Amino acid sequence: MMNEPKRLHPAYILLFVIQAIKGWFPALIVLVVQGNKHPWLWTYAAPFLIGVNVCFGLVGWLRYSYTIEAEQIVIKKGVFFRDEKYISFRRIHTVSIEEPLIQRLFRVVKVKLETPGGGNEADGVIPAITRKEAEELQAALRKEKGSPSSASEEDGTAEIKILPEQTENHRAGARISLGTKDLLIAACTTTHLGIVITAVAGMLSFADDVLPEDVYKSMTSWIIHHLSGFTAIILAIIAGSLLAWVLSILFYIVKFGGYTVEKNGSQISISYGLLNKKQTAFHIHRVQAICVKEGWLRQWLGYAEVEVYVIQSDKKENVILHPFVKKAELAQLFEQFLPQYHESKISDRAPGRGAFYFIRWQLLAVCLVSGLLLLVFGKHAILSLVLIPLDTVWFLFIYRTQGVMLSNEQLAIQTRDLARKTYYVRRPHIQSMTLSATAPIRRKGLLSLSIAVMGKSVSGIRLFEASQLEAVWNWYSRRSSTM
Amino acid sequence: MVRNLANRRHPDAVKLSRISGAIFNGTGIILSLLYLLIAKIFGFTYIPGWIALAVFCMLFILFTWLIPTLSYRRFAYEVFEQEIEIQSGIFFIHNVLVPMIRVQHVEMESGPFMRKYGLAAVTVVTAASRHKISGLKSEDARRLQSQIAILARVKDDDDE
Repeated sequence: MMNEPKRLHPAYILLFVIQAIKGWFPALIVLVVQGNKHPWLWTYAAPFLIGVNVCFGLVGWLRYSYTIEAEQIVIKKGVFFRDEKYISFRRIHTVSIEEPLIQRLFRVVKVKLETPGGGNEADGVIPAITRKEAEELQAALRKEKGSPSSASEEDGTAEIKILPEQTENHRAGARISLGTKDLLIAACTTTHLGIVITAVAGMLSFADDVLPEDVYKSMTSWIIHHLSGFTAIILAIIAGSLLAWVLSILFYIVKFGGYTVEKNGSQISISYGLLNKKQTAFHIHRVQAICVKEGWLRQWLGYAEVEVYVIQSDKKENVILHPFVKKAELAQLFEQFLPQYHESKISDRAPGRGAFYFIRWQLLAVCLVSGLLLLVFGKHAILSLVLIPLDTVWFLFIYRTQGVMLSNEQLAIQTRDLARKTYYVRRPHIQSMTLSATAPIRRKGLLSLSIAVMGKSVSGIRLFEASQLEAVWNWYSRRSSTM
Repeated sequence: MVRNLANRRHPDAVKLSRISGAIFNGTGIILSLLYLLIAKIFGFTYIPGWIALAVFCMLFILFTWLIPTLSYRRFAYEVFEQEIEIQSGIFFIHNVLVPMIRVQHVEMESGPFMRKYGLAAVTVVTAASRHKISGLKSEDARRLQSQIAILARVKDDDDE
């Protein structure tokens, strides 16, 4: 085994310096603003700071090492505070290889080793090694990972040996990538609203700062002069949403460009990204749940996004198994990549008689709001009455979308907020199950159900017939089997 | 969930929750009165003071009279060989089912007021959720904790 400590790629030094400069950001602003008045800032202070950071980076690089041992990896780092991490291979459940921009320039990669219960950052991070080294590391991991619990599963190494024969292995080694056309349609049917809003706000304030004042002023005064208030607002809204849409398309393409998912034995690896290339690998048995998400447009076009819930330290990042799959090919996708799950037709819907209880509070709130508006603004607020039927229809729609389906070891739950979401969870991955309702609702024989799954939340379903949900409860309960 | 759960809280838990409700909301009432006093001296508006006073008085009545008995009556739990079921709630009644094999550990805690009444709470922790059984006599809580800990150690064959 290769037991000698290995050093990172020297690109680490640059990464370190950039990281440090980011930390010095407020000082940087001072430098840019005051630099012309006090030339010594440029000539002495800035080079000094950079010099110090380069030195630290260099020493940090010299003292940053990782060692692959028989059953664990040891990561040692730190200049003043030495930090030594021993991570047992058996505890590592996800290895992700990322290529952020700077790493890409040097053709190196960043490796994250995820273990359960880590903090916000991954437990083991190796910021810069060559791809070859990263692959060696992955191979070593796969080889050593003969954990007793997964003895029954076919593991990666065994799979490689028998690859050429048998038809079953055809299934074991699947690979899908997203074509340009699909990527474009996918990009057009999505909106990353949060990011878009911040981008637009940022651009507006940027325009305010950068454009010469008289240009900005004359532009705004031209707009105010030539357009009356109402049209200006409508135009602004249209222009804003168009801009937002285009931005979100660009953002989506940059994020999901070059998307590929591959299956090797029981290991799935996903990679995507044009600028920041990301690669995530996990064992199929680490999947806690699947969420199939169909936005409005996508549902209409017959496409969906498939997210898998894998325990990960980076909780903000969703693991997307397929960003844009045809609904008709979903069953095949499951069979190829996650054979323990299967797509199920959801036939058990929310009963009609719960609808009133589902919408009553929302309805009351809307009635109050529009009543208040009428009271304050009189006739002008008459349009707000439209909200009442709209709200009713919308919540009825949400209520009727809810569904539940049991099949063997799998529970499927369908809900809607804006997009329709179908969750697939296997019984062993449900950590706990809750039935709830107020006493009067219970007396009417209606109940709500929610489940807890590791890593992320699964939305519950509300106001079903008690008998429907008791079937789920009994399926989950282990008591019946012992009696 | 149709089954009746055998165990309940200790009746002392009602007393305790009355007292803690009285202390919390009583403090609120005193603070609102204090605000009214300050407002009188400095000539601030009285409105927030009156609103807070009204709210705290209402909560005082609710939390010393109605809610403790209700939540006592609603609360029930039972430990089975392979799972725990807990029923709780005041207006919304929740029934939670936690399989033994999903239990990661069991915590026991008791605050100063709880200790005065010899009460303690047991929290069952899974990888994704926490479930509290409170208002138990300390010795019962300890027994429950070790019982669950022992049962949780047994492996279930349907774990993959």
